[in-house]
Amino acid sequence: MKRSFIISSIAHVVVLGWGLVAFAARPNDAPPTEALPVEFISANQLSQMTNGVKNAPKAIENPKPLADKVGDLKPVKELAPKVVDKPEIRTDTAAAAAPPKPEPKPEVKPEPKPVEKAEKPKEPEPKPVEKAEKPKEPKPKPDQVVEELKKDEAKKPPKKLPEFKPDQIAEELKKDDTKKPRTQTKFDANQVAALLDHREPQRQVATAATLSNAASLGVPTGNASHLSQSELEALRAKLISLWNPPPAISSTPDQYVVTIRIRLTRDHRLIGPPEVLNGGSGPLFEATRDSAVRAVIQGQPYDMLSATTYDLWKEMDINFDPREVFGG
Amino acid sequence: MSDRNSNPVLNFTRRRALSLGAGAAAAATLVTRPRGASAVTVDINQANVQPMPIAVSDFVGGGSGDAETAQGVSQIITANLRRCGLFAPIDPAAFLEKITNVDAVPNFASWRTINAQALATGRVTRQNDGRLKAEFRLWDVLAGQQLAGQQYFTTPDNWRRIAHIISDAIYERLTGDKGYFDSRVVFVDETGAKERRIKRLAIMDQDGANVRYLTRGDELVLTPRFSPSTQEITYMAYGQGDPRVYLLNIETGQREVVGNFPGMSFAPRFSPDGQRVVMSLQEGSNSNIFAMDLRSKAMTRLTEAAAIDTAPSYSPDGGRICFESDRGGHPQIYIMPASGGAAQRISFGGEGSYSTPVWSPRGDYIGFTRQAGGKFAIGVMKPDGSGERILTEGYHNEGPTFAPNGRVIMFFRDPGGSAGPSLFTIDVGGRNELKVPTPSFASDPAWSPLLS
Repeated sequence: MKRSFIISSIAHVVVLGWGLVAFAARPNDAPPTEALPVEFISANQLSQMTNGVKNAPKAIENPKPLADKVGDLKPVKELAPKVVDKPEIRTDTAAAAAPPKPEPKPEVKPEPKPVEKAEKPKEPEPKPVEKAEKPKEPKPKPDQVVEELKKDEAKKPPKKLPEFKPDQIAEELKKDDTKKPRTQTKFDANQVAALLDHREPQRQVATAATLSNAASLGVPTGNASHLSQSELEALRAKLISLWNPPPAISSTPDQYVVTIRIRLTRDHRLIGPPEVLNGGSGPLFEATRDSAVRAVIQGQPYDMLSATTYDLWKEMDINFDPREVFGG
Repeated sequence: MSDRNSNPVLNFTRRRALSLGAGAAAAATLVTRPRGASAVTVDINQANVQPMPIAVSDFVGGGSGDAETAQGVSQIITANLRRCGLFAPIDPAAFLEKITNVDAVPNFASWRTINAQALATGRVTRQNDGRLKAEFRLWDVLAGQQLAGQQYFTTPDNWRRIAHIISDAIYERLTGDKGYFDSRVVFVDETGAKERRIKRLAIMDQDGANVRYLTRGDELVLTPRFSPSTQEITYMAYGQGDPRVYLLNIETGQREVVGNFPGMSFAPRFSPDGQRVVMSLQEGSNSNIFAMDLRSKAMTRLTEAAAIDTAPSYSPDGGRICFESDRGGHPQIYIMPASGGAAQRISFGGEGSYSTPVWSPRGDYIGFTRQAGGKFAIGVMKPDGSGERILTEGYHNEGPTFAPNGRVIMFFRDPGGSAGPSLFTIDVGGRNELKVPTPSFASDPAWSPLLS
């Protein structure tokens, strides 16, 4: 009785103890995510951003493709033929049953696929006879370079050909070799003309039955030429820290919004005194206006603005709006 | 509002910016403007409200013997600007340029180096006719412009007042608001042991200088108030018999009892035009508010409640009166038309009682004393009862009075124990609490209108 009680107790303790460890709630470790700068804008501002360009022409009724020249429509050539059938990749014994097909693309080098090297140990019998024949086959190559190359190739095959299946593969390879001269290995300045690409240029004047200069308007939301938000925020932060409006405007702040136009040099300094755009009178307006002008003068140099966007910030209007400052 | 109390240099909108967050950021968004405007528009809708750094250079003595007065003038200006809380005068030891010629344009670069945004220069000259000429110029250091320039003539013993007037001119030009330095304060000066305190009416400049006693101290005086239009004050005094409301001419020392009623009269205050005095009259265990026309001596009853109605104060336009009444059980603040009639309670700030309401000369706030939880606090609320804000709280604070421009409140504080009360100022934002120097204990301050 006592013994079984002890055993039972120990068993319970062990089980519970194991449970404590095993089922202990693991902290839910979410990897810290990078803060994503998010900006809220009102529907109004969104509509302004997506407004597009004011002087953009209206959408054309029957849109035509761009045409620079009157002429026959040229059939569009496929620059690269589609890959219809790919060689099957054989990695093991199955390769013996189904030999890889020759490459159908004329431009692709018929170099042996590395995968096929795996077959090497299984076909250990090279056929030296076929290789020896190769240079003898009549070749319609006109130039010496190719001839030289052929000689080079004649020396190489003993190393490579054993990788391939006898018969068909070797035959195919030979055919391919005859089509493609390997000119890359040597360069002869006198033969440059032969090396030039004689294909038709791809860039051609767009032709159509009638001329059409309807270019794209671009993306309506594209604003690549705007000042970046971080530049603007840095500018705002600087001016906010410097603007010290008189507290006396707190009862009617809406009457004391001041707009100041500043013109900046490329080295981020003011050109001339800041121009106050809106009028007003009375000592409170004067004090508020002066506080805004002081902030703008103190803000120099505005070196948070990137030199590449100078055209955008060479002239800026700055609204000093105390409504939210004293709004509460 | 507590964060405003703690730090005189503060960004008003830090908290708002956090709470508004999105809105504020959105407002900064670039907006394409129509033709004729600049390509980029930036909205600055927050600010960094803080005391403005100003340099007050030593005023130049125009002749031999004027240097001391000139220096005194610039010291008073510096002290005034510092006390008001809106300026941070720069220590003269940091000055790089010594102004010797007031008529020359200062070297702005050297003042910019010490971060001064404004510079005040001046000259004091004793004229051949014995008068004192004081000139000053106020410069915008950053823009490199003169903002103001004036000259004043006065008698030599009035040189402090000239300093206050120049302070007001600087304050007005830089803050856009009326100044308040050229004003005085009447208060109750308290001397002697706590059990046998001698209370005298006294008057001084708002900075604590030129204290002058108006009564001899043989009677208890309370609640002095300035006339807005004449050199008179009204106050309550316990002489022989019942407490009475008196009228005292501070120039001639002549005094008279206001009205002749049975029972006591107390808590007087002038109307904004100075033609009437409104006060409480005891009626049995109650008191009601009456207005008396000072010329015709005609009394008008304004309240008729079975309660204690007291501490009336006119709105600046004279159209309404705020007062204290316990008609609802506890003392609270009510507003009624100046001609009497239905009163409306405006103080609803939770527990506690509200007393001694006083309407700001600007009309935007009503100052009050709130008693709650064994503490006395000074606060302000808008005349509709909204925007209540406690400016300071402690064992005993009482008797708020507004500076002439409504930007600063003076009150008295009694720390308890054997010590006596002292005067303090605090701005209506709850910042910049400062003790006002007085020769001894002081209570019941009342600010005068601007002297000029």
